[in-house]
Amino acid sequence: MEILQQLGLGLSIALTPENLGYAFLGALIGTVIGILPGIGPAAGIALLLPVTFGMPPVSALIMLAGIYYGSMYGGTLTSVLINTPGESASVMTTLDGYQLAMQGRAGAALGIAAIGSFIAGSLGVVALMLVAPPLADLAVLFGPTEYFALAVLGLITLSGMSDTSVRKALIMAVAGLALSTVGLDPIRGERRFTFGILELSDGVEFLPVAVGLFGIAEVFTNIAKPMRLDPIRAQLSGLIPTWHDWVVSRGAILRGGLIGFVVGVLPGAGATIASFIAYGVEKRVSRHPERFGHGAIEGVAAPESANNAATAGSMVPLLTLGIPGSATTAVLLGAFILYGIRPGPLLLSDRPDIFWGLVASMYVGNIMLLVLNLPGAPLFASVLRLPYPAIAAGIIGISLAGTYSLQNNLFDVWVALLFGVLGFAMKRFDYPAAPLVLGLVLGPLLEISLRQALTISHGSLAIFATRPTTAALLTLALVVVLGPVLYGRFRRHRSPAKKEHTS
Amino acid sequence: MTRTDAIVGGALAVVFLALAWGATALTYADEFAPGPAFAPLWFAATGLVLALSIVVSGVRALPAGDSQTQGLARLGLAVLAVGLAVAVAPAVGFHTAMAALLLFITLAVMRMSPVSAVATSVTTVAIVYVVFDRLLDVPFPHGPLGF
Repeated sequence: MEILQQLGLGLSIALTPENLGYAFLGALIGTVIGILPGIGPAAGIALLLPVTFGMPPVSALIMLAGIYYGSMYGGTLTSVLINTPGESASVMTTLDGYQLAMQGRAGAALGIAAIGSFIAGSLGVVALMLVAPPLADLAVLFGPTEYFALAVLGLITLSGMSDTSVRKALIMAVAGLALSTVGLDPIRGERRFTFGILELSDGVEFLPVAVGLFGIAEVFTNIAKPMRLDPIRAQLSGLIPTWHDWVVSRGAILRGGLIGFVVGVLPGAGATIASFIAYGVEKRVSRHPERFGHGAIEGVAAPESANNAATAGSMVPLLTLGIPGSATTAVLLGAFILYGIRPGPLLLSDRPDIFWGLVASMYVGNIMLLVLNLPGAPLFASVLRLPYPAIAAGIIGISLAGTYSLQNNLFDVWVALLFGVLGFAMKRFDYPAAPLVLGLVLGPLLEISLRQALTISHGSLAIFATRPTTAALLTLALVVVLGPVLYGRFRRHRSPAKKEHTS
Repeated sequence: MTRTDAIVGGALAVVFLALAWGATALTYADEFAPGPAFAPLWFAATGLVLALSIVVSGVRALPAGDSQTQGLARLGLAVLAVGLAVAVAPAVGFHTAMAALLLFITLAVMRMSPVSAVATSVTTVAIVYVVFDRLLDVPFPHGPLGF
């Protein structure tokens, strides 16, 4: 009953004409960002964050969240029409979506993706509404050791799930943590690693780093590649799926939604992993797994439902614990902090307007996206006709102006440029950027919690083993990082023995 | 892992060594309370171990087949252009510097046609001007032309 009352409060905030407008704008921009190649939701939110500085925090967060889940819809369009995912969470959609497009059924694929995303996204928001309050109540009991363990788990899981080398991902997370130590010491106020530069006293701002790594680096990477200047032309018609499409997809939508939400809640996993798992599960439970990869409509419905539900799931650790589980939610956490709001267990009691306003706006936003995407898909497809240099010019222009507007100085612009170059090098040598940004955002929480815990325990590390929640979270982190290594060794050890036995 | 990874790992090891060296100037701990050097030193130590493990794996690996140097000259030109634009922005004005930068990147680096390059640059700067300068009142440096 209390939840319904709180949802009523949220709806009274989300349904004001101003916030409806921001939710619509966020959903629209997010869809376009999802369509544009080389710019994902993290980059989109980081680039547009400065534009929101004059807005009330709740309106700004409603718009930024709209960009996040809107980009999941947009990514589908390029996956289906040109076999190129607009962002990583739509990779699995290319497998069957493009095949359907080749068979002249692109409209049906996009239609089922939009409907599946709407259903799973809305169910995800319901689950967020039900799971978040009890988790926040539990998290109120958390002390410094639990927060330290949560931050460690978030960083390690994100690194462990990385598609490059785990060591490279981990070293980037540590680099982000190291970067977070620049500036005044959070407990004693002593200057650290500022090299006499006044602007570094407040530390390295996350926004120029995120803009550099996700926005400018992407442009630099494309500049260094042989370029395709011709715009893409795609054909699209018939967006309403048939009754048969709906019948074969409804199970996939529900399963994908459930998987997406659960995986989204886990720190470090996120929408991409959720879509991979949902596709795999769907293929496994299907009576005709041989159709997958050749234009099975449920092969579009499952990953698309999963990636949308995952965005709602990823809001759970962000809003209740203040721990982001992905690059995009790390940028969102940075946005909260810039607006002077600290997400965590006290957010629900201290700022119910923010929490419930955001949750309610996600319901509204999902309806808007369905309305936008079903009839609007051909219009969105025309975005693909933009030549890349025009997109690159836009990214550079907004990046430079946005980072300048953060503190009205050119120092932040230099920082963004530096991280743009570093980001290019990281891409070239397969070092992921997301763990670095997460390390930078979580660094202060991790350091303060660690130092407080050790002060309480008089320097004894036993405090991390004697508190059950802390010990469990740290053990889980250890399993995430060592599990795949040990499993790999076990398999290698078993294979020769098995071969010997067979021969 | 490739031999190139060994070189990158070595560079990262130097960065983490420098961090550790810088942290030695700070207080590590007072009694039982960890001081300002505590976290940087442990981050540096963890980073160093990971960097050295990458170096070892890279040295054991085969040399990388493709040096991937194509397009680097174009990238270098773009980076220099952005740096130059940021450097001259206080003197010539932010929007003027950005218009020149975008024109250079679209025309000279990305080889757009002159008409498209001018249209792209002018449109982008106009959007930035309207959103940031007029709507958000960001006090950008203005040059002799007034923007």
